[in-house]
Amino acid sequence: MPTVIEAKDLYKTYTEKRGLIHRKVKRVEALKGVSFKVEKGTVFGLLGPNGAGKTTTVKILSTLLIPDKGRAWIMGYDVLEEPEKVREIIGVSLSVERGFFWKLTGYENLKYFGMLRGLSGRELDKRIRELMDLLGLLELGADTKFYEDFSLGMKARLSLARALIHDPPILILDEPTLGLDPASSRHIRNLIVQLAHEEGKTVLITSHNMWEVEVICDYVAIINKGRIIAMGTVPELKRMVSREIPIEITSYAGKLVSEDDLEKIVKDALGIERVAVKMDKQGEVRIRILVENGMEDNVVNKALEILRARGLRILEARVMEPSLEDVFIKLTSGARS
Amino acid sequence: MSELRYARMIVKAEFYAYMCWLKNNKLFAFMTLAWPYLMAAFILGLGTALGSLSVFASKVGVGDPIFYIVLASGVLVSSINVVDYSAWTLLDLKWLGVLPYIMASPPGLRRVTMYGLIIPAMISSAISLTAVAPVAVFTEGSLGLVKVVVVLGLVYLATIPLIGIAVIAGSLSLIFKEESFVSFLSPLMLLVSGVYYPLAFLPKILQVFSYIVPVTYVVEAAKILSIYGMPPFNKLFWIAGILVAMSILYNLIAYPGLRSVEKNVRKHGIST
Ligand SMILES: Nc1ncnc2c1ncn2[C@@H]1O[C@H](COP(=O)(O)OP(=O)(O)O)[C@@H](O)[C@H]1O
Ligand SMILES: [Mg+2]
Repeated sequence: MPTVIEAKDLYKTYTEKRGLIHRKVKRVEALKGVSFKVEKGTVFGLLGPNGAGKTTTVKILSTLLIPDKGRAWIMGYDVLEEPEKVREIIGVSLSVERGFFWKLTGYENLKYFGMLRGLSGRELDKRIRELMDLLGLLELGADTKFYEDFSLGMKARLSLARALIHDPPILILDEPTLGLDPASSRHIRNLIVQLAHEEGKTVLITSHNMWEVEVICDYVAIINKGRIIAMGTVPELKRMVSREIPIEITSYAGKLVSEDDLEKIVKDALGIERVAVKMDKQGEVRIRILVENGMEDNVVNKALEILRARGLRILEARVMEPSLEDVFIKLTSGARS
Repeated sequence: MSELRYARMIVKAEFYAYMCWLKNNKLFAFMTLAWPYLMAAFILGLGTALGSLSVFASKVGVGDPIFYIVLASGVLVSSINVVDYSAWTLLDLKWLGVLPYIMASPPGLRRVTMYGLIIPAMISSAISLTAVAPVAVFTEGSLGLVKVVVVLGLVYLATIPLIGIAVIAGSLSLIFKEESFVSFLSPLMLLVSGVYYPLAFLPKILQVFSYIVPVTYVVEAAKILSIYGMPPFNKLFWIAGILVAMSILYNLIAYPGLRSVEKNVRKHGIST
């Protein structure tokens, strides 16, 4: 897969001057050497807490901010040297709650921004209807409602629609589901995945929602205090936290088999030593297995097979996977000590 | 893309958006029509209360006072609209969070601003001067209509330097985070253009100011038109010439002004 977005060693320090006479200069180091690559047709998540530097990175990639150091390319075009080229091929959403004219309807807003990209006539009309339909905006009445009367969910959908108006191959979306109602965020998440996996678009999203990133991103970079502290696929990142993952299976054994026998059977069948079985008086057993990270799916399936073959009824099976949150906490606390 | 295509594209987009905006803000559209009359009525009332209209006419140096006041009010209202709209545009775009999207659009901020502002300026000026046309026709017949058209032409010519000045003020406001550049612009113009009183009444410093403000010259044209029966085209050509020179001058400053806005935003970031 070719790399279509690349950031290389980006640095940015904001200087803010306050007061006309006594100039006080405030400096914030927002980025301290950010590098990453995004492959075509994937959803790339830039995950980090507030103030980590996500928006700063997004602005640099969308030609809206000049880094102090470092470079970035979108489909080979340098964001500093060829901003016009970059602007043609990216669709951007910077904030879900702002960015449109209040006294125009959703339809009129989209049409204006479409016209600024040289689209017009029936083609543009058709495109707007399609997009509004795709984003569920038509059923919400956003075509005739003024933007000022939109709910946050509608605003976010409209923002994504604008990013898509010229059918760009690259989407750069800054916190596209921030603060949205569940229906709107689900709609947007599904669409993002669909755009990448079915239409081959490349999507860079930022988020501070670990769960969301875990669900939709193919590749994740965790950013904190202006630095990327970890990068990889979600399973790869999880492997960084712990090498062993607990699996818990609850099943009903009744009088079919004793606690000790069951433990031996499972150990032998799986070839794993770290198995603990506990049975209560009613015949319900709790089996805990510690497996090497990455093996959990195989082991669960195999364990369930064995139990079923013995006639045990499975009540629950849980893989106690670490969440991205665990990853984040481990990485940031490690940095502090 | 060629410059001409960009210009056409932006003009079409702004025309569409402004027409939608007028449609959605009928009260504003109505006020654009009614404003010249409110202003004229106020001045006529004031004029008759303080003295007679003929005294006013001779003091300010105009012919038919009613014709002049209505026409000049049309000029003034359209100029104020142009200046206010244009000067606030950059700040409005910033507050709405639209500015970054304009910057990230293929034509970019400079083009969208420079080409785009012409459209609302022309539409609102046309509305304001159409509004005063009936009075002009009523007082001077078809010649009155010719005069309104001539004034509209000059107003259109004046919009270009006015937009330039407004964009300079808007740029300064954005860069220095100081709105007063923008908010004092139209009151200042109103003061120095000498619409309702002779320029000689003004302090010297403001008189100097009045020479660099395009509105003054359109007002001057309205004065001339109210005195003469047939429009004296040689004098009007002079005025047109001055306005053209101002167009070039102010926009030569405005364009780099916008460039520094863009630079400033790309250096310091802008809220999204
Ligand atoms: N225009 C600006 N001027 C000064 N400081 C800024 C500006 N924009 C962002 N910052 C600061 O830079 C840091 C990173 O901000 P940002 O990139 O917006 O983070 P995120 O999007 O991850 O929340 C924060 O500390 C923020 O306060
Ligand atoms: Mg942010």
